[in-house]
Amino acid sequence: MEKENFEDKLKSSFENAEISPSEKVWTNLELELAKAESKVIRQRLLFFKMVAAASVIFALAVAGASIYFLNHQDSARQVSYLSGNSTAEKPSPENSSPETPDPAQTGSPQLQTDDSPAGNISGDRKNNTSVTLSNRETEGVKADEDQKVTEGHHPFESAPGIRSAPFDASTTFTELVLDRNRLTGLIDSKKETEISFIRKEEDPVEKMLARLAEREKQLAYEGKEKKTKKTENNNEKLWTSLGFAAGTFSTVSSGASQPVSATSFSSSIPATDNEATASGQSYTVGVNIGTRVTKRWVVQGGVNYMTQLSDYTAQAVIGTADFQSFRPASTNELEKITDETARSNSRVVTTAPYNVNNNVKYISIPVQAGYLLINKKFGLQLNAGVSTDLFLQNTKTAEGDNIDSIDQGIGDDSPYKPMNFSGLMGTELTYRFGDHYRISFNPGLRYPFSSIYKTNLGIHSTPLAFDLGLRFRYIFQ
Amino acid sequence: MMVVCLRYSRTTAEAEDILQEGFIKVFQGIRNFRQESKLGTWITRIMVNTALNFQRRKLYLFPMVDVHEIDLPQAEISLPGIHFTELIEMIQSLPQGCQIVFNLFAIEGYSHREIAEMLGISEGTSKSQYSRARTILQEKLLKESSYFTRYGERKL
Repeated sequence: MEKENFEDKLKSSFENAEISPSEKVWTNLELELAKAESKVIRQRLLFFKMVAAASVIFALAVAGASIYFLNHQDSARQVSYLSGNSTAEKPSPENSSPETPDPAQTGSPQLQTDDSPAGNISGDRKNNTSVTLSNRETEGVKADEDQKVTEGHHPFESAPGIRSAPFDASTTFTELVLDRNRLTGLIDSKKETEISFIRKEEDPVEKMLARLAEREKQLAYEGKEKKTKKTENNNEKLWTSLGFAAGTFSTVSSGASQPVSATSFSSSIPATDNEATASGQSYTVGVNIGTRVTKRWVVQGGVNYMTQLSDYTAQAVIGTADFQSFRPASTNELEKITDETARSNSRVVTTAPYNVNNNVKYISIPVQAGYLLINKKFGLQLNAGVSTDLFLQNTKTAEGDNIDSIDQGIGDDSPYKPMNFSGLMGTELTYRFGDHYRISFNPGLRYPFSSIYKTNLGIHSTPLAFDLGLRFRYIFQ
Repeated sequence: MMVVCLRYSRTTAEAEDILQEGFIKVFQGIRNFRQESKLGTWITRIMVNTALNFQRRKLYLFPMVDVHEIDLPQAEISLPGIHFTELIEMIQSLPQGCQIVFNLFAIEGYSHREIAEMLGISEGTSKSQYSRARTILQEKLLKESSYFTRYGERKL
């Protein structure tokens, strides 16, 4: 067909057709690209600054909230203090307790208990981690920028056809093409330059195409911020995280099945109820590991160290055999007193109300399933699971110089169950920065399935805890 | 790519603008290039789209309507080794609308229906514009070839 012939001929005329544009094209291109890059980098830096500011604010908010809460409890107690000890006006426990304003100074929840060196380190660790991360990210951004700028220069600097304009004839050539009138006069010169023209002109453009292909391969190899939806979903198969959480708990249901207060020993011991119904703060630190099982479901588990602090008013102490020193009574000791005989046999002594700081430490092993509602740079994950709480130790500290503190571990003396199970529920709002890091903010609820006290005691206490946590995830693959 | 841009423009300066803009898009979009096609093809497509965007504003000034021209005899056209630079120049001398349609159909290889969609015209308009372009080009080519035959010069 004539038509096809014509078009085919036309097409073939244009095959391997090459013309070099003037140098200003490349210069302008460089400028525009550099402009665009700097804009992107500026946006990224600003974003990181926002994240840093947000985490600082969050930490301060948590600290502020805990201080407020603590002070609130303080002032409520001060009203009822009738202790003979003059120094008992303000809580001044022998050991450090979170009632001191340390959290405010350092701006992060710290675990200040006697035998928890891990607690203090974790507070520092949190700050160090976040600093390290932000440093690393800034470096990463800088390196990226340098690389881009350097690479951006490559195609243009080393293409010989551009820098060293091969012939003056080449520039003149294209201009003349457009001037039909001068066309005839230059047929001869055209003949000569055509051949060498084509040969030379191939180089710079070919080189540039090659470099583009190279760069494209490089970007694919680095894999930085090139995630398509597909890769995003396939990423993050395995991670580990370090988490901190602070919160409060309050006892939802409690009661003594044995009506202790109904006996004639009314002066004796409402303290059992007090201890069991106390509300307080809980602090948790731990490491978790998580893995993705399907596109939207993950499983997380870990080991946490949890401490629950509460204060209650006690009205009895237990003395040593010689009654030389006293310590707060524990629930089971008080529960054992059912009649006058028992009472006199025990070394319980009634006192004026005084404040006891109750510190219960657990190792908690949670296992949770999570559903990824949103799985992009920003993520939203809904978690539910069960945790095994292993009771470690209970420290009761009384304010008042004359009263000793008592540490109780697992055993017959302790009123707490050595092992208990709790249900967990929470959400994680996550943000991924870089390839391997995700930070998440997770509020959560914890509710024990059964009483934290031993069943034979007859006291039923299941404190519902709500906490806010911050987790730093490192993604392996 | 400069050749591609020249085909869609009237002057070298215009072509260079299109080239520059096109390459910015290439560099910014390279990370999304999935190698479903050849790199050269992908870049060409970006250039064509950039050129079309460029011209789109001007297209309003040159509304394309159905051109009812008498069908000239479809003579056998020989392209006696005519150089692409001359072809470019001839294409550039075409009326605006014809130029674009001709490029898209004859060289890029789009169908009239696709061209109609891209430019927001009817298929019939596309066909007639192409037809007109072809006619004009044939005339010019005839002139060229006869001119050279007269002078006995062969072009490489």
